[in-house]
Amino acid sequence: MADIRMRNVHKSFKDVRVIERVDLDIEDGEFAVFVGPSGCGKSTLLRLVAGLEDITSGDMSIGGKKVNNVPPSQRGVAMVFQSYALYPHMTIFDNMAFGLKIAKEDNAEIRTRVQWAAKILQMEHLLERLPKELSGGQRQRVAIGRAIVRKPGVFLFDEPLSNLDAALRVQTRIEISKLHHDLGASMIYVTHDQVEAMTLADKIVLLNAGKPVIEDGSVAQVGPPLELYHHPVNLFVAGFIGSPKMNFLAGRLAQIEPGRATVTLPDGSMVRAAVDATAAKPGDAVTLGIRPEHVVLGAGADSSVQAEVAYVERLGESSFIYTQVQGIENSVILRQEGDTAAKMGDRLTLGLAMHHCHLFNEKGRAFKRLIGAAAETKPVIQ
Amino acid sequence: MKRLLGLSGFYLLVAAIILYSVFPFYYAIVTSLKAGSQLFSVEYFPLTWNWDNYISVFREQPFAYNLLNSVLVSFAVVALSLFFGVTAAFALGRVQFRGRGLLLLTVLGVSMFPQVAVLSGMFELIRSLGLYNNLLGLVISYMIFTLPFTVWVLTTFMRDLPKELEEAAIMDGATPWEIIVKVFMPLMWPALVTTGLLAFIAAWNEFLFALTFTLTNTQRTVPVAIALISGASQYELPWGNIMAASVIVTLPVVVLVLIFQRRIVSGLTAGAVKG
Repeated sequence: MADIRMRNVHKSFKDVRVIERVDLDIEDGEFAVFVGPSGCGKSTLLRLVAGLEDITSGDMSIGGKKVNNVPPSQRGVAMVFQSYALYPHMTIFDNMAFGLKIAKEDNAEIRTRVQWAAKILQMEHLLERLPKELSGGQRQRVAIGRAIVRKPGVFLFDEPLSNLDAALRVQTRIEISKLHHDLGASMIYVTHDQVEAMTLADKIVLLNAGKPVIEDGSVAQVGPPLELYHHPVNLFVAGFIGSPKMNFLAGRLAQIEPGRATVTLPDGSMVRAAVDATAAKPGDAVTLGIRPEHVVLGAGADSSVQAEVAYVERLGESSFIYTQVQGIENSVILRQEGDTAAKMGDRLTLGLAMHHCHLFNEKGRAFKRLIGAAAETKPVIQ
Repeated sequence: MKRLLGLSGFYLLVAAIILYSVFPFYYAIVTSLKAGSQLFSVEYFPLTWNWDNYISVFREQPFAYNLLNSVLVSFAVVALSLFFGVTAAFALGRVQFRGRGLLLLTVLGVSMFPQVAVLSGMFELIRSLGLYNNLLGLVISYMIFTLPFTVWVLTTFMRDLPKELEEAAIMDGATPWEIIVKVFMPLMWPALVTTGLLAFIAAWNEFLFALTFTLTNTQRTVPVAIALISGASQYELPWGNIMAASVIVTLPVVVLVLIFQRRIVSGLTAGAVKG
């Protein structure tokens, strides 16, 4: 069992408070991804779990054992570093065997375990080479292999793919996912790439940066990837998950009914959102959010606004149309499948479906959406 | 044409530098091979190969002892300097603690004292430790000038080693000592060889301390022994013997440099981190 429990964990360097009030549970065998903007302390949080940094206050336990003062090697964790950190003077075999030799494992056992790890990672033919003779992708595997041989309860990955090229990154991502499935160990993975976060995670831990860290604590939201996508708790989470980011339209609450709120935008148009806004009152300043992939063209939807095309990006499989809505500062983006005929200066009607709209109060907190994540799952057509 | 001129100018300069640096040693070799009154005629090529001087150096004084003393002292100084240098470098280069900068500056400051300034104090120290006329006294006193640069060079080198390597070793359960010996030392070969060689040369050639802290001929190191070689009467200076002895002392240093030159290669850290 290697579940990780953090209770009220703080970390400061001198006077700088990096990690604030983290309460986090990662269950045995779970794949957790720490994600957040740069400087949010996601690597620091990982290093706290590893034991490379001491926590300033709070409690951390791994596998039911309190580890606040336990040295890294006795926590049952193994870490894969961003820069691989292979020992350059040792062969691949020795690199992987180093930890076991330090632990005074017997030679036959070391040999079996290294062979076993090499087999999993398909690099049995590389064991006698030196790190400098390997490519970036191969070095990455060795780094993972060095973690595997120790048979840890928890794997820690610190941005392991950021030094690989795009194609290799996708391939290695799939391999790590498979590895998690095969080994069944808990994994914590730090990244700033939300595609990696969305695809790998059982649970995403999105971290705040800057002022909100002091106000709300380090953790912005914890949950399965699609929960963060469909039910972000605040503007920061809504804006961070999804690419391009969610459109935000400032407005005022006009009318509140059970299960529905109507918002007046600066240009006078009324937009309805399927949220529970009973805690607010008409006239409150709010922010309406809708993702580019949910904005449709034409007046058929629940509500609509008029916009002018400012810019068009054509990616082949889809197009992004950047539009300007009167009175809204930032552009409203919509995503269209395939190519689009829209061009600069065109006037469009944007359709905003009620059940796709998010609504945030003045402080940026989300009103509860009345649509379950499952309702947006497309059925499989046989 | 211009290129040819530049090229020949370059090689002329190289030749001049080589001549300037090698000629004194070459002349010592030539002189050491002469016998008797031949010594006083100027010749640039050894006409006769006379090894008498080399034999008499060993016969007329305990030169073998002196050589052995020099070897013992130099190797001890190198070993101790590298040991203290590496361990100090780990602390100064990789551990954060208050007063680290001040400590480094102090170490550097020590190396700036001229030897003469510390001579009398050092003499009292050596005597009170009961190490007068003892090789151990020389070893300890030599460290006063070998340690500062060993510590400095190794600290800079140690500081540049990637932090992740150390952390990876910590995750693997290595103790600080295991990190130094099994991870850092193999990567520091170039620095260890360079500093070790410099310490060796400094200890091998040292004269003032060796002269002051030893009394008997059998405890002397080679530089002092050579300076004190005397002839049959006080009016005779045995040039032949002195030159032969000088050649004998210089050879080990030259050989060591040639051997380790191959090991002073950079790029040993290649492959450690991304690239």
